[in-house]
Amino acid sequence: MLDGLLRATPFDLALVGGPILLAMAVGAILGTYAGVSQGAIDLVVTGAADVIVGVPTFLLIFVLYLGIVRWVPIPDRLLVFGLLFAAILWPYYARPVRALATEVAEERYVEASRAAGARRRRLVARHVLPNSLAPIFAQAPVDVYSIFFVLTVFPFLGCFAPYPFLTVLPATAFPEWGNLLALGACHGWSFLSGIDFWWMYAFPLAAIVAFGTGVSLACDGADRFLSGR
Amino acid sequence: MPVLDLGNPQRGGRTLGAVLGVLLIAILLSLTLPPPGRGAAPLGRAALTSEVVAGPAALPGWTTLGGSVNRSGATASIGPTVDDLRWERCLAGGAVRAGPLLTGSTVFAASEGGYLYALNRTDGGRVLWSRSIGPGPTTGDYAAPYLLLGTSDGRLSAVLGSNGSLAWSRALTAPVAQGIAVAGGIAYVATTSGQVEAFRVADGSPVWSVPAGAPVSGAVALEAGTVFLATTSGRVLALSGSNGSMVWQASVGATVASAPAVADGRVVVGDGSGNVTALRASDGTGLWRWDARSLLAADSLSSTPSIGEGRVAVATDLGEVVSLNATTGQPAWNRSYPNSGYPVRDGPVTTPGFVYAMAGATTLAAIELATGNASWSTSLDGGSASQSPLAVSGNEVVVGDDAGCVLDIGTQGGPTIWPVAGTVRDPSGAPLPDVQVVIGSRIVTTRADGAFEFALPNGTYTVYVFRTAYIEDVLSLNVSGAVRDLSVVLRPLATFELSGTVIDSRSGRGLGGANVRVEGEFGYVARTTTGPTGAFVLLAGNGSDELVVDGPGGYSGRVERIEVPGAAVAGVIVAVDPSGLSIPSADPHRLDLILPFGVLAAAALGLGIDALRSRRRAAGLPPALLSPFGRYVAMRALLIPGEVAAVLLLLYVFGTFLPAAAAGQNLCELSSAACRSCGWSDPGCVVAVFGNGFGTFLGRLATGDWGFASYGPLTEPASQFLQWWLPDSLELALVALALSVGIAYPVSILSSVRPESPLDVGSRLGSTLGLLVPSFLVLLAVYGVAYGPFSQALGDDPYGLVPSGLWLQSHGGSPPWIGIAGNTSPTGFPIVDSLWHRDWGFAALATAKTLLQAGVIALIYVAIYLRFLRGAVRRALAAPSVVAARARGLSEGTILWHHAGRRLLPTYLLVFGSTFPAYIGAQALVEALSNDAGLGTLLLSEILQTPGSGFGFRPGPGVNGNLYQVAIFLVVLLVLVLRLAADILARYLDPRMLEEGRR
Repeated sequence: MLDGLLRATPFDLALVGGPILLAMAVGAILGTYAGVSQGAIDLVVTGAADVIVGVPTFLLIFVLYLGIVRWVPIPDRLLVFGLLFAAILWPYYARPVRALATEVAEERYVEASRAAGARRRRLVARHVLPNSLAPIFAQAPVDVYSIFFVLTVFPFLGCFAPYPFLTVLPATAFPEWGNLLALGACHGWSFLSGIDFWWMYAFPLAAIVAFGTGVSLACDGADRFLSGR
Repeated sequence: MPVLDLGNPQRGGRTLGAVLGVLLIAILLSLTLPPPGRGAAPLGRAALTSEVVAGPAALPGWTTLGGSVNRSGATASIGPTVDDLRWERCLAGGAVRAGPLLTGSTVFAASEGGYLYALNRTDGGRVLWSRSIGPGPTTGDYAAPYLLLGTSDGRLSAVLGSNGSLAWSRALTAPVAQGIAVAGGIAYVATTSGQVEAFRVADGSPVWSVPAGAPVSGAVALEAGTVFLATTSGRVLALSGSNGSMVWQASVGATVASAPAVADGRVVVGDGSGNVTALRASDGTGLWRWDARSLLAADSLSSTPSIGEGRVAVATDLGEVVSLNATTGQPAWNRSYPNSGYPVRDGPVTTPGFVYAMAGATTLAAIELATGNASWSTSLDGGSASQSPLAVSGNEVVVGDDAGCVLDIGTQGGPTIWPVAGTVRDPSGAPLPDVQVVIGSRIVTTRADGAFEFALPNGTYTVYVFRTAYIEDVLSLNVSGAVRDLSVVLRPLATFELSGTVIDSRSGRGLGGANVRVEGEFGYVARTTTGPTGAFVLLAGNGSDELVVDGPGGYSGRVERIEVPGAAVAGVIVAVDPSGLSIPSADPHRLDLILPFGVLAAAALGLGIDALRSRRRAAGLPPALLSPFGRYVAMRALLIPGEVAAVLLLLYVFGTFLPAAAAGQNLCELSSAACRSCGWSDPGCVVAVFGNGFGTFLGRLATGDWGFASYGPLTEPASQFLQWWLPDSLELALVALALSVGIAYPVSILSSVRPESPLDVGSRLGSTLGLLVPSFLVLLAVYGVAYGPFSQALGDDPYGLVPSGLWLQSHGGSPPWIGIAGNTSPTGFPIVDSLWHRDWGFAALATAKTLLQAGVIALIYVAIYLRFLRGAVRRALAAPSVVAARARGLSEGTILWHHAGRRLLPTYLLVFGSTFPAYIGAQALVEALSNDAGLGTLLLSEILQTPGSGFGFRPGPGVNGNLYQVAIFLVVLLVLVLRLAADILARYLDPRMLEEGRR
């Protein structure tokens, strides 16, 4: 079990951390630009974000993933899964960042900088972006949840019936916390204490909770650091 | 010296003489007896005891090798289903060599050292009597009242079974080979030197004696007055029982070490080169042959095969146990056990439920006869490489091992289990397969030959026999012994012609291509499709039938109840309504025609508005046509079609077009437009097909032509499923949302008012944990805790579509207002409907189930909701109005619930709008895992079942249409509309938000 969890760690860091960091970066930049520029970019970003946010994350990831999975060679599927997740998650960062950026853009120090002749790119990078980042730290733990939800629920459901769907899932072939947890809960869970093999699900769960708590604390810390408290 | 029973007070040393006498006997015994095995019986005492050998008549006997003189190894007893040791008794004299033989409650067994024991098997193997019978007993046979014993010095002895006294003893030319067969007062034996002898049981006088032509090491078998045996030279002989004359002989080509088994007109022999050969018993013609070396090279057979239940079971020397078809010799299953290196001399035993075998000479194995699954196995101490065969009786198997012990394995004190077997036929006598036979909680399905088997303890049972489209039969069965021929005749449901027409309810014209289905009693179903004039003819079951019509594309379905009163019914007219959004099927969904008009209309609208604005500006009025609020509503409402279009395009490209193209399917099948084939080399064609396919997709989406969805045994039009289950989901959503808000509202306010208070920290921790612990574990934990109290209070499981069959049975059967998919009528909301029908039990159960599910949803969703509420609530509480109220000295409570509470409502609405997708996810998951009726269940099961072919693309009729695209579209529509409503309502309540929105 420990061996499985340890071997799973790099996969999980990549599979969960990668998309979130990517989505954070894309979301923050697009959100800030949209908030500052208020023009066609704003309309496009807001529209796209509204559409994506309108669909429950786990449904959307499967529509997209199942749509293109057959076009992707098997070794690349993990990467594509991560990229698709990033593609779905960025609006969750862009929307609150944009909302805050519109406020920040009207702050006096931004006005001052604009009056001093700063170009827009510098304006965004130096002033608006750093001051609009706070909301993304509230979102990151939620996305850790979203990703583990997908990684856990489907292997869990599939554990009761060999659905064709699972053959194309990216993470069933190697140790991965969510997968380990799903299989552990499926095969190990019982309400009877004698046959409840609790370690099969307790340790993967602990790994996920520890990771999530870590992300949550890190985000709170980053939030406080940026807001100067 | 543990042999002597000095502690017995009756014979304790009262006088010196008695003590000396006992000591003398003890010394004599210790000189003659070899060291005894474990817990050897007190021989001295036993020898003085004389008990009548009698037992309950219910105990079946096992009085000869292989259970019967035909050596078939078959018995009507079922044998033990568990390997509990009932008792173990170790004999003086080492390995068990003759027996165990069972008659009534008595067990006879003789050890290598020449001690014969009678044990009581119902009394823990207590020794009834024992005696010495001379060196090396090789075989035994019980023919009341005598126990016949062959010994290795070539003598044959008869001992009275009741007390062990010797009746007669006679010398043969050579020792008896393996077994004695008795019929009609005559005993038949083959000797190791190759002589076949017959003599009278009563006094041992000879009847006839003939040479077999070669040494024999296996027993003779007796069937219908003919003696069968096989010699070590590989010949199989059939001799007349009356005078020993040859009936036929045949050669199997290799040495045979065991007796032939004879049953059902077949002689089956296993030989030393691994062949199992079946010969016709009447003339010795070869019937089939199976080679054990096809499983393990160099395998051989030293034991008698067992014939029973239409199978032949063999145990090979290398530890394989194989079941063959008795008619064809085809293997049905085989199992491997450890190979001890000894040849296996004990043949297997076939019972109606199991094959028992001394596999590999050391493992006693019980294998399910029908499946070949191992039931249990146990390793015997010292193995049983000897000739002490298995004896099976009732629920026990008795076996002797090489350590000298007799073991009785079986159920401790449980009831005797009897085989119950029978056949189901139709009135013409033809066997009926796939019939469900139900006795108590046990269900079996009849095989192709209509046969079925049960294993039942004594008792009286009600047997239900049913099969689709046959009239159910219920019979009462009293089991007090084996039932071999329970014969059931099922009458088919009488069917009569039902004819009629499906018409358009508006125009009255006949509709071709409608699917018509009749569902009668006893699961009877017949289907057909209407002809071009709408006419249909099919066979309907007698009695009350349901006529289900699925209109052709563009028509809704219809269900009608039809009474078939034992005669044909004609002229049924079913009128189906056109569904509202019908696009004529002759007209393909031509996006290329619709789209330009749409673009032109939009441009015209834009120009018109612009003209209006400039005219207002010219007139000195503000150019805006609407109030700020109205403008906001209009803008938001206008955005929706664009968002919907984007989602549809996304669903089409990723759900239909890309998977279909990746699967290498003919792209032309994506659209209803006429094109033959279209490859990637022709980009124009691909673009056209893409557009047309999208049109088809939209058209089918709009007309409700969504293909089929399946859930469990149900396969129905997807729209039908939605109609059935949507109310169920809505009901759950209402309860769950109310519950979520009920929790989130006070928690968020209180924790914002007192930051860092225990409530605040707790709610923050709880919401983080709630996010990280996967929601299905939350669900499992809640159900685990709730299961006991729930089922105790309400008598049913907390999950499932409808109350379980058991619950319904105990509450007066399934009410007519519950449909086949667990859908209720008239409203579809289970709680509302059960109240409407005044079914309080159902209402309580449905409410409890809904509350439980809603509770879990709330647990999951509130964690997300709270996370986003916290900041928003704190900002709202910093609003000037609240600060002013506080400055006026109003109490915190008043401020909180009056000022802040009212101000907070728009915030709640906004946060709810943006977290609604997360809510949908939680509800879908909870529904799916609770296996309850609802869209979530359908959605997840559709995603899991049919990846990647895509709705809108259907290579053939009846193929699933991937409902998930439709469901996702509906969810998105719901999310967009609800979010719009929440946003508008929030701005209506708090117009200041309009300003924020414009910034």
